[in-house]
Amino acid sequence: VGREPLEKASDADVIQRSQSDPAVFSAIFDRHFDAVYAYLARRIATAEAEDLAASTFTVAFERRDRFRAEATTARPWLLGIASNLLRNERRAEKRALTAVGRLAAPESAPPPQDGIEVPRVGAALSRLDRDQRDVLLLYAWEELSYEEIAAALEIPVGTVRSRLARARGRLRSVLGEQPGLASDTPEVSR
Amino acid sequence: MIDELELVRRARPEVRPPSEEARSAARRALDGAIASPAPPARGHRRMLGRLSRLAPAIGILIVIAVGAVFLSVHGRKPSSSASGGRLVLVFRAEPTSQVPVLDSAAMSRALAAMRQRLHAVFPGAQVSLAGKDLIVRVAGTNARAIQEVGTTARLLFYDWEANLLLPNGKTVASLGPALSTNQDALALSQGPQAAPGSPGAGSVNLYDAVKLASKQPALSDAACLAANCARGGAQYYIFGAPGSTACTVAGKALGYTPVPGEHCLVSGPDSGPTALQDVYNGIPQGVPRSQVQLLTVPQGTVVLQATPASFAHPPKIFDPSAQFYVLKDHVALFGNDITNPRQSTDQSGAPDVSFGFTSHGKNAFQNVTATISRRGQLISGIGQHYNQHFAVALDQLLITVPSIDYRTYPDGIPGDTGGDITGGFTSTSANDLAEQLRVGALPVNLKLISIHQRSALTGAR
Repeated sequence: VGREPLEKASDADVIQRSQSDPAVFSAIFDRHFDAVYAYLARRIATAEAEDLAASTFTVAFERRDRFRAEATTARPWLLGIASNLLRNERRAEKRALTAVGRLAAPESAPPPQDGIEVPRVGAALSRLDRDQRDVLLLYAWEELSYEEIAAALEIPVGTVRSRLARARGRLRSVLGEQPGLASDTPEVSR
Repeated sequence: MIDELELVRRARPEVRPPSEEARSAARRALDGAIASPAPPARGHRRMLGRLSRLAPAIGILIVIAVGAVFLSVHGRKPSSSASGGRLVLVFRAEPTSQVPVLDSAAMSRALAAMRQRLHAVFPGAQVSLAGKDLIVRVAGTNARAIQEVGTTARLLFYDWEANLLLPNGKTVASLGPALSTNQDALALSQGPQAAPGSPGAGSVNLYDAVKLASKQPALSDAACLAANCARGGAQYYIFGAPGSTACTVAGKALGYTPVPGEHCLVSGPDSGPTALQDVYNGIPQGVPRSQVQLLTVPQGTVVLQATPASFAHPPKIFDPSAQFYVLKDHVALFGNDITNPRQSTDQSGAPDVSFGFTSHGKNAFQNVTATISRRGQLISGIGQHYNQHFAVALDQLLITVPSIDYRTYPDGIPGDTGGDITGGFTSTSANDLAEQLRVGALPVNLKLISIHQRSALTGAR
């Protein structure tokens, strides 16, 4: 009585309801499967992404009691689970990131920027520490806020900041050999 | 100057939406988890605690019970083919001594291994994860084939001569310098007629191997733990008498032609808590019980099949052409001690398989190769070089038995730079072996808990 229809309920409400009525958790799947799959498919090959996306939701279902009720959307939480599952696919991810230029649709492939091409950036990403890479890609590709990344990865916001700074510094160092970025650029912190 | 964040943003790949098939498979996996939620954490922890108290022997026992299936060895009645429908098989992961906790990382590895193995044989198979269950969906095929292909095998490293049994039950290494005067030992260790571990290098047929193994003393659980046994408990085989109706019937049921004058495998091998019951249940219909013989391989001894000519199609264990060796079950390294097996090339450019070691694996590998090397030095005389070996097996199938040159590696082979397996590989076979090592490096047990079939026409189960 007094509850909003499922389709209008917030993610937090749906997950709360799923504690007593597990079937309603399917709504979380319907809302976020494509986004979780896309995040994974940007980082690993399609077949692995499909399986890990499926795993993300079964893991999420089992751990739904750990979802923070104050979160407005389940997407960061799901991306955090997906990131953790990705850690077992490091080699596959490195292969995919190295080939990241090929993953980009030809018509949308950005032109080289001051000589630094997309495949070169993908290769540089593959050389980042996995913790730094998770934070960087959740920030730059998935556009999560520091707070959302912190909640997703279950780390303090300060750690998000420091990992992001280190990731940027490392990227500068790796890409510094290319024209356009100076290798002695000081580490950026925010 | 360019902002590196902007560069990363620009490198963000555009991806297509997931296929409907993938979405449906994922949805079904979630539905499965919702329909059968995992047990409460409290009960789960209690179960794990109980398992850990009961010692790794239980985990080992479970793994081997399933691992044996990989070799396509059972005398079970073949499953019916499900032509025209869709099979759904559910495998449940169980903890082992090496992976006592089935967390999401372990389940993810199990999922990847299952997918890798199935896709090599059934490209259309869909594999999804639902809690501790792996759900396999595949268009009409033989359920048993899926079970055999999908079940995870284990990778094992043995000191070859220290464990390899002579017909008298003593190990080859026990002869010491007298090895050079013992023709049986020379054949097994040095294989002048064939490479050690391959058919013809002192190998015997299955019945003779199991007979020899059955005469060995059983190790206690404590001794087996100390010795790193791969298998806990006994392993059972049932053979038919030479020239018997039992062999004729079993041969028809299992698809082999019995060799006149030789025993034939009727059922087994089986191991695990219900192994004895299983091995008798596996006797094909029509086999006269009066013509069969049960042989028991005790805990602490293993029967390994000789290295196959083709890893893609190793002879089945009941194939009369298959050859075997008997070893003490003292494992030097397990598959989870190695990392990143991959197809590579040796110094001459020939294909080989290289791999790395975990920190524990590095020490264990150096220790075992040092022991092997010292033994080679000890038994070799002036002008006689008897290099010793270690063996790599995937469950009960020997993969390779490389030698350790005691002159080059008097202190063993450091594990820091990993290892290479060389010898007669093509690129394809090296890649196949690397794949097997990758899959075999997963010591998680997957147990088939349900099979159902969906009609292609009606969708009815």
